[in-house]
Amino acid sequence: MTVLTQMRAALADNPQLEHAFRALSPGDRSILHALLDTEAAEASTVVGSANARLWTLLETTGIMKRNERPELTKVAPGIEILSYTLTDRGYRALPVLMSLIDSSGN
Amino acid sequence: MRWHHVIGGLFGASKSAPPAELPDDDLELSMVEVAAYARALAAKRGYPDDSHDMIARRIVFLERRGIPGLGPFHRDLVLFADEPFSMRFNMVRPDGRRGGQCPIIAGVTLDPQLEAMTCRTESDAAWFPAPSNSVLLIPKLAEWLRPIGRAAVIHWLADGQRVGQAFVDGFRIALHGKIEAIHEAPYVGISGFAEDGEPKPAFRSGFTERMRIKQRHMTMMIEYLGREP
Repeated sequence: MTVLTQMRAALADNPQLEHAFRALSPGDRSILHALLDTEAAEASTVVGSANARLWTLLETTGIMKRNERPELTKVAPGIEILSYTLTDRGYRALPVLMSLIDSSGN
Repeated sequence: MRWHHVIGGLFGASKSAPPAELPDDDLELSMVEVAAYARALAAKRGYPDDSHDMIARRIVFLERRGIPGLGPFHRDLVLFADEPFSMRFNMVRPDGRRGGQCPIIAGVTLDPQLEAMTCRTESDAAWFPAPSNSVLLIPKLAEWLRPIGRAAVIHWLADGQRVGQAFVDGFRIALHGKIEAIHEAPYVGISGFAEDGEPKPAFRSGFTERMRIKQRHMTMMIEYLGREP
């Protein structure tokens, strides 16, 4: 099964994935591009944000992985900060997913 | 010297402050500066306005991954400065040789063939006369591959030997071979990529935000930009 086929299946199996993508602001999306373009980049967000909703779903598809960063909670007590990176598979799968969603129109 | 006026025009540097003398060693450029120089070079050569951002994006893509992009692009413009821009589209050179055409335009003309090319095996790559400075084909192939999630290989052939290979995986690249040999190779091939092949390439995404450039190359580039039309 190709990556393209896998991502089509992921979108079909989980409509929330597309909804979460479409909820991103241009700024949110730029983080994904920065992750793709920069090796070993790590991105942070807070629980409940549009990014957090999408990244959690991307974790279930194997595109992103959550990093354990307990020290981040000390930065802003009471606010849960999440840290994610792309997986090896994510470098190839994420552009496909974004392309499929962009080309599917509204 | 005229070059500091060019820099001022490009990057908004103060014209009131006289430029410090260039150091003897290498200079560093940020990726923002690389993009600005790429756009300026493209405009100087007469590439259509709407291609300048694309050219800059591709050159930054290479440089961010530690692969020369700005140097080869500048080299291409200087080497063929006497050839009318409209002739750079042709695979057959004015002297009758095949190859050495513009690598940017060559990338565009490859588009309809990339589907078939990237379905071929590595041992059965689709070969064609190499454009000049053909390392600049890499980002074109990467951009084509991204939406379909496929990986592919660019091969360079000289004297019957593969002198370079670029494994391209969307945003990631593994380049094998010396850049000088790649630029001298008269043939380029494109094939698919055997995921289970050996040895496995060590793909890398961007890992540097600054490129190094020799002072003399910088001076040559600025002189090129400052030439009278």
